[in-house]
Amino acid sequence: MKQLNIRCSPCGERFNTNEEYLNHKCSKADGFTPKDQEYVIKTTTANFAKISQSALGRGAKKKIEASKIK
Amino acid sequence: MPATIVINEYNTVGESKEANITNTNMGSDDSPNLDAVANPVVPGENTYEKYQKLEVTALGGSSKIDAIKIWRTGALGGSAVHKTNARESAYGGAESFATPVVTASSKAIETMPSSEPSGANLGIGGSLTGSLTATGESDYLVHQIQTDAGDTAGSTSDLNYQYDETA
Repeated sequence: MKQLNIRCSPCGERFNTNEEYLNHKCSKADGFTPKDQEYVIKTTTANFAKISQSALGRGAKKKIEASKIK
Repeated sequence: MPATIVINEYNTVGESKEANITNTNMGSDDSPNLDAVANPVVPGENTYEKYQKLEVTALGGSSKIDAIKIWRTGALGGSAVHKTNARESAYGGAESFATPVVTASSKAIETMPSSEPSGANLGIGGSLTGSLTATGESDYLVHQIQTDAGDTAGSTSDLNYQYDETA
């Protein structure tokens, strides 16, 4: 796997691999990891839950439209 | 639980990854979350290119992320133009990283949409119909603002990143 110089923008911690970044407990996100929605909500995108719901709504609509075509 | 998505930026010759950026300010320095006041663009010159990706850090209970759309809302100062590799037709495939330049970009050559595109304009796996069904990243979004000598510095606008999520 290619090693990158990865920095978590909110807490500033650096990592050699993406796996290390994904599993770190971010001090700026009250210990949540980048895999948790709370990480995004607490650090950069307070309205992420709303964005997520909109994305799910579009996905659901496409799923319905696709089933109609069949 | 829905998917978790962040926006990353890549900078310098080493392709350093700044994960979960806090803004996409553009200016005369190749750095993430830059201070645009401290790094202004001289009218007639360009911003440094931005190389960014959407990353799914967890899929949650969802099965698919696709249909990525990128567009800017809000006017640029004077006759400045915002260029990108994002496009709805004749997509050029996944762009590879190169050290961001401040000269006119050879990768960002399409005009950034100023309203929501009707379809995806940034690919996944090199295709506009691509999708992420596990953790991973989109293709590179490359963009740059090119100004005119008569422009006034200091415009503010929003860059929109949109995706569809299938549960």
